[in-house]
Amino acid sequence: MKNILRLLKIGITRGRVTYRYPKDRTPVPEGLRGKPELNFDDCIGCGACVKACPPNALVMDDHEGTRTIKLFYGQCIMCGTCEEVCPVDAIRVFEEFELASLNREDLEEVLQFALAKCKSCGNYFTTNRVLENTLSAYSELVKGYGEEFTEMIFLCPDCRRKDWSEVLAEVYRGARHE
Amino acid sequence: MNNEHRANTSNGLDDIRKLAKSPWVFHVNTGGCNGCDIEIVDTLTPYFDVERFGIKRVSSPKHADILLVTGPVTRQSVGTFLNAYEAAPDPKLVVAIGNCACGGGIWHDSFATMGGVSNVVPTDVYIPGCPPKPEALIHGILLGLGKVEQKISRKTFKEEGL
Repeated sequence: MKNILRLLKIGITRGRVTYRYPKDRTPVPEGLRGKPELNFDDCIGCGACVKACPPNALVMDDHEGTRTIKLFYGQCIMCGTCEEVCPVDAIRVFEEFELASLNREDLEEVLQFALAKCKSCGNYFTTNRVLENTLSAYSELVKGYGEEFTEMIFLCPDCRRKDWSEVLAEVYRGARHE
Repeated sequence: MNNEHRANTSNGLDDIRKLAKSPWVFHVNTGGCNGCDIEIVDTLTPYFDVERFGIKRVSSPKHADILLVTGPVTRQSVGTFLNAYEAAPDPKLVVAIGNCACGGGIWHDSFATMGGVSNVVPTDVYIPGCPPKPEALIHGILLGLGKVEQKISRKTFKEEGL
């Protein structure tokens, strides 16, 4: 009897504790990491997030001049690593957590970018947007060094290595000659 | 509600509407880490109190209307899981809870798992999250019963000239 009275007292003083979820909506805790979203206008398609993603929720595929970046929420663990590594802040983690869906396809976000060709060998190597970004970032730095430094950006890594080794060989030969 | 999707699975839309009054849930763990299981228990506590919707946990799949599946369906658990699935009477709703059940999670390329519930039985609702919040679980189950709207949709973007 004593216990029941005690419980009644708690019940009356505390009132309702149930959080009536779909009706009531309390704000989510500060710093909650929810659904990450890719912003297509900002994204340059460099693939830094794909390399960083621990559970491979982000995958990248280069095929015939098109780079496809796919984000599958069904594998995302909301760790926020992609947000940390993104060089242009295109991927952001939002507080949205109601990701339930009736279809597997609804859990996907797909981005497609055009790839650029290497000026020397003609193979696809990176997206046009990455080149634009690099040019705008380094145009100030390479101003006094002539055209060949800017041209080097448009070469694929293999051709760039070859180009540089030729330059170095030339310099070395000249030095030995003197 | 997506009617086309429902036509592909074993459950008719009208049958699900009949379930919506007081669905009883059975919880199947198919080799998960228990993170999602703890969230399921959390939704049953007085704080979230899913009995408001008539949702009640039962201890046998024979009494269940909804199967709450967690885990990536390991090879060892396939037989047991199928037994539980077949024991549940039709119409039934299969809810994949957590990343492992949705798409295999971090075990998606492992030889020892089936890579998600949808590779074994037709799945009706996917609730991603690692683990999903209790609110997300409630939202997912109500979505399967047709009481709330789906908030997520497939997004595709293409650069011009592709």
